[in-house]
Amino acid sequence: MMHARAGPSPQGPLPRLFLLGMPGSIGGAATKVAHLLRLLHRCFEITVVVPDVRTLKDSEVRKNVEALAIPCTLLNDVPRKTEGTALAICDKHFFAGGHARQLKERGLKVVWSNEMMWPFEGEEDAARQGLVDRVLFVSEFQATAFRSMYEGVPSLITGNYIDPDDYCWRERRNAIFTLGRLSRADVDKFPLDFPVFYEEMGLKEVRYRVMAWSPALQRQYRWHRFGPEWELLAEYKQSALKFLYSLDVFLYPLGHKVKESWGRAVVESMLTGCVPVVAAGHQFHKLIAHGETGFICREFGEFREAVFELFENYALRMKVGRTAAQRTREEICNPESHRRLWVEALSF
Amino acid sequence: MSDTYCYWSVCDGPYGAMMENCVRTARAAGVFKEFHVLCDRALEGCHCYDAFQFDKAGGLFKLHYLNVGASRLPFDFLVWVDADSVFLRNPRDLLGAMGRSPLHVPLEYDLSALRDDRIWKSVSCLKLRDSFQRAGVMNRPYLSGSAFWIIKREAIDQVYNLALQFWNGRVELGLRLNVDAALGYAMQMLCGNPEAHVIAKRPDLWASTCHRESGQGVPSGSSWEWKHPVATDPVLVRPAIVHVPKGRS
Repeated sequence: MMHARAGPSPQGPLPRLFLLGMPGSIGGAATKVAHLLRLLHRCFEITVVVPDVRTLKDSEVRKNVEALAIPCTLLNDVPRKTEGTALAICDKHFFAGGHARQLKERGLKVVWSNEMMWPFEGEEDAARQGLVDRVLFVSEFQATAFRSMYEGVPSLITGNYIDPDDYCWRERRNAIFTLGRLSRADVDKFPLDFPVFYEEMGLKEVRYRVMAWSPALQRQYRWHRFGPEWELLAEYKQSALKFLYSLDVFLYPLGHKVKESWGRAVVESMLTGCVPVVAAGHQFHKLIAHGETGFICREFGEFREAVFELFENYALRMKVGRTAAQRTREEICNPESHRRLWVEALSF
Repeated sequence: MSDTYCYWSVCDGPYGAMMENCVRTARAAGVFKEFHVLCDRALEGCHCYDAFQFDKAGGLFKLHYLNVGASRLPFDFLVWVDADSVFLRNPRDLLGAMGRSPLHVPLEYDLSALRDDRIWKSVSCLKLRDSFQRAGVMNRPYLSGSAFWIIKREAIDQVYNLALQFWNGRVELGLRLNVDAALGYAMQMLCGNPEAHVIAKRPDLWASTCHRESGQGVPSGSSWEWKHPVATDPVLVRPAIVHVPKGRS
């Protein structure tokens, strides 16, 4: 245990929440946990449960929990008999490692959010065995994919909470127009023609920035000569914010086997004012108003038209970027709306 | 250093003589690139390699030989020509047809506009269109052939695997395709911008006379109208390389 808890609220003791994860500023899962702590620390008596002793001492974790006077503990140190809720998000060890069962046996209600479009190891068995008291989905799209597996289990669509104060709007106009994308270095997330797609935009003076890149991606595109205009960054080489600030346009075609469950990087991009140009056929129409806060494109010609327009018309780029940032902050990332939803999701 | 390329093909039996004719027309047109051919006898003007027996059903031998044979050729790009092709001129900027793509297969007919089904080479065009889209072709799907195509050597295994995956996937669904569709699928998944690879974008490079009336012969070198049999609108072409299928010379 790292810190003494804050005292009870004037309304009486707050319901207990054990949140499994490593709050931080690098990576989607860590960021989500950090943002949820900020969102919910006045609604729940939160304890962060970390996987090991080393994480207890991690400076990023300490920074996030100390700022809110939230205690940290190991799974084995969660009280043997207690009340409250345990929340795990996108944790591949949660079921396979027996963590869900342990927490359930200690008297906690187990709430689980997968975040992906495929089950983790042990998740299907856990759902069947009734280990999950409530399952959360980031979108209707994701919920549909898991419908049969979680039949009979209470569920809620919570979307994704991103603290807008961590992704402030910034004007940008690079001396060399910069196209880029941010995602996991998953080869399936990239279309088979990815570098060709970018270069066939036909812009004469341009830079391309990609994070994250990996040896597997390098193998997938081994037939392509990446010239000096390409910058391919390994995972976590830069913070998402710094990376997004470096782009003029967020150009996001996707692999044909992938269906995005939500689109975290797209929302982060919009918050910073970087105009997203994304592929149709996912959930982006729930995040983007085409032509107003970004562009949703079906085929190559539409992508190229949007990119060219943004390249040539700085006023348009600014206008769409500002509108995207404002609407995303006020609507998609509204703290009050999210707080109500998460309190409902974590209350029994 | 500029990129290197050679022509290559696979010919046996009567196709050997056709290949020799193809090479003669190339030399007469001022083409001095090498022709590397897998064949069953020595062919004049060609670098020859043993072809052994191969199954020609569906034309997949073109892909199999690409993978096991042509991949060993020491050139940056490999240009496949069917044996029954002739050169009318030395192609200008042949590799320019690639753009940024690792593969160039001339795209011949936009299937997105098709309302009523047509049968092309024993395959339903509507079923083929549906197959392309289900397998991930996001742009307008095109019909294309396999009589002429250019591939970057480093992309051979990617193209081979993609094409065979598509072909095998359709077999499982009961759809028997040929190499044209398999190669066309790989092309449309890798090329980025398919519009840059349609016949009309390079009318000076290659076209086939298989759509012309029998007896019209080989175009002499002036422009002529090319049209895909299922299409309505012709395209004016004057290609350096012409595919003249047997019976139309």
